[in-house]
Amino acid sequence: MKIDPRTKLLILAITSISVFLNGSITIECIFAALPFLLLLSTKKIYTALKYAALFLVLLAIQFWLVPLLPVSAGGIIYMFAVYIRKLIPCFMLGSLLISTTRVSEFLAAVGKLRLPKGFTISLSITLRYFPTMGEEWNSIKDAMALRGIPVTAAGILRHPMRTMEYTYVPMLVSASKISDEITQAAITRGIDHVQRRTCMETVRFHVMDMLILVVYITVIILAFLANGKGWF
Amino acid sequence: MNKKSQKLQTRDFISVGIFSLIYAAVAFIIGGIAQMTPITFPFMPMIVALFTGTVFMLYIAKIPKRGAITILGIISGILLFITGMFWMMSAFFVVLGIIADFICASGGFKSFKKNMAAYCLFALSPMGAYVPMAIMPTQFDEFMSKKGDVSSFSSVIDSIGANWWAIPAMLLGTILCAFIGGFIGKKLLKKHFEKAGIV
Repeated sequence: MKIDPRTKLLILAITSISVFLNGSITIECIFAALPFLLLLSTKKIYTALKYAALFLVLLAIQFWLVPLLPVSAGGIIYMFAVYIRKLIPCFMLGSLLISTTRVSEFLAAVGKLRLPKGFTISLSITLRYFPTMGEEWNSIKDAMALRGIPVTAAGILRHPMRTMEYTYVPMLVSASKISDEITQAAITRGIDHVQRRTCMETVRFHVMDMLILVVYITVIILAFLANGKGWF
Repeated sequence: MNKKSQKLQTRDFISVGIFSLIYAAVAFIIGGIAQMTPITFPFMPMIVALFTGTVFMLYIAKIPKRGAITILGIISGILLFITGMFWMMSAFFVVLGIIADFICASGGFKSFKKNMAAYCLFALSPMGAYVPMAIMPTQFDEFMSKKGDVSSFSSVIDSIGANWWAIPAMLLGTILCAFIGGFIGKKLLKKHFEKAGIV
């Protein structure tokens, strides 16, 4: 099953706006369940289960742990749990977008939106760099641990400047190098060509896209009803 | 320099994409941690300003071209909007990005003073999350209450809205921190990146 990258962008935008405007927990579960199913259908089972587990744990914290705590500490944990939980649908859709969309496909789809070409390139590189940044961060953490510099909250608070220097410098140096490498690869593949780009894959809306959009529009209408009339 | 190299090229757009993501990620992680407790909540823009200075200084040194900071503002704004920040913050990122771009360009991207001024201005963007507390408290209250229970935060938020000096004080504090952050950035740039031939 293939979903158009534009559909993925659109549902990501819809989710990120409506999740924070919506107060009902039922609707929020639907917003989390939809990307969960989408991730399952693209065989990203591990990612889907990881996010689902996190969602349920945070939900449980809100319902069972917070009432047991004193108000001030409870408030902080509550804020933390709710805020992260509301981000989970966006994270799921984000990882769906990143893991199932190739850069060329994304460029072709976004190119159809008639945005300036430079902006399109920057945006697709931003998406492409997400997983790489995670990998780089893990390697830096490993290297630091190997030299006996712990990347923990205590370590950061004790030596804020040193920790900042030791994480920033390798991070930014590797980012610079990677950006040069991507440039070489992209220019070799003719990204500078002035004519319209063509793409091996035909990027267009299919039945699946229509289906997803209809489902999302229904959920938004439900969210409106829930907000306005106090249903659910 | 001939005219062509003054404009943004493909290689610049690629660097813009990568560094915008790093900028937004640093702002999101540091800002997110700072916003979690009521005590550090009002200091979020200042803490972020301390940390993003290095990224900003390297960014200007690597892509000294007109338009680069505008795109940095737009992409950071989009990323932070998707991760649930108040929309005014993204608007601030875009607008201040465009102005900072003009300031840097007027110094030819080489003048440290102009770059510093641009960073001090751009670092005010997270203030976009606080200005609404004073200007349109009801709308902001609604947004925050949808986000979750804010009982332990409401006193902090109310005092920001009620005291006329709170916002100017935060602006000044952020500019000061941006200044320090910018200097740290310059120092790291000299110490590491110029030696490694990145800039």
